[in-house]
Amino acid sequence: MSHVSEIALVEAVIRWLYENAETNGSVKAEITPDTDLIATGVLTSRGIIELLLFIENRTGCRIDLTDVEPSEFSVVGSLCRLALRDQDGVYQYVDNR
Amino acid sequence: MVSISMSIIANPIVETYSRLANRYDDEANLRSCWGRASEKALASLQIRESYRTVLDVGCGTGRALLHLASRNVPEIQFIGVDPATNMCKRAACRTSDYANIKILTGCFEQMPLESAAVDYLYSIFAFHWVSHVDESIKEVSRVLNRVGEMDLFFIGRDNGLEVIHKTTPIFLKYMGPALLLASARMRKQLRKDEAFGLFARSFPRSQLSVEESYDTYYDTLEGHWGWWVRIEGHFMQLPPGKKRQCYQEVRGALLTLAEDRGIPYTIHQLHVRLRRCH
Repeated sequence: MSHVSEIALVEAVIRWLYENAETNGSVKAEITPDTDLIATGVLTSRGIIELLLFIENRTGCRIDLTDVEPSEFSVVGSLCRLALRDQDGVYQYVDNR
Repeated sequence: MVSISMSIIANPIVETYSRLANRYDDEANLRSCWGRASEKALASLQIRESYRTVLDVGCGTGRALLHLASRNVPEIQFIGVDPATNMCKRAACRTSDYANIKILTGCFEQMPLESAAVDYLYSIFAFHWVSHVDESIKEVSRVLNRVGEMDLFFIGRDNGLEVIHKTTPIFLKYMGPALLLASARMRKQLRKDEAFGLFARSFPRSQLSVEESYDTYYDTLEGHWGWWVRIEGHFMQLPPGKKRQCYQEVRGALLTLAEDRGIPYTIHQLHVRLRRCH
């Protein structure tokens, strides 16, 4: 699995969000790396699950949410950093499905 | 798979339904949007005279079974299956006057029935609680006979979005990310095409259809709170004090949705229908 840069991941996530936002087809506000997805209503918890799967497939890393702060989890940029922190670490993705 | 161990929560849905079984038939729940939507689904069921065994999966306290058995010939054997022990007890008690109603403990993934034993299977707002969608559909296919028919009503992907958008930030605050997602995973919320694709693995496409509906119900805060019993299982891991605070904030958030007609809640319903050629 090749490494994914943070910038590339953030861009990919924002593209995904414009296609998959749970706002009945119209994203009113611009989505940036600082957008809080839950506070702004772009995603619900179900949407976040789908986003995490997208990120995991993209990075090949499992995202460990243990001890993660709510703000870290719901903001685009920090969620991407969270996903990438284990890119070289112990949580390398193994697809057992 | 995101690394949230489901061991955080060991089937709290079944446990909670069992614990709250005595509250399930409260007027507040029955009159709520979910009570009304359930009645509508029940009213749409048609029991053919040719059916000999009819199965209700997720029968709860047995309301639908009693309704159907009282309106059909006694030669039809009605069976109710539910995983929550106290729901089964209440259903057995409620239907005890009917010799042709039997209540068994079981679930979609594992039904205590012989293969090909069922002529007609229905389920009203239970299928979204399954733990394993594929296994459940295979099990449904196993118990239905060659000409067996089916009506499954369950919630779709976009259920209750207006309320969920308001409440998710609050749940995130009180539950934290891991628990919030584990909780969201307890419900399987499929899209229409996804549901069709999954059922088409076990049933002929030509005999299968999925109907989708969005119905918005308006109610007071207390009216909506009447169905909260149905989702209590999501919050089992919260300590009582924290849960009280969380509910307080949720109630405040629901009030901000109020319109002249009341607080809206849109039920996104999927209806999977299997009909054989007669």
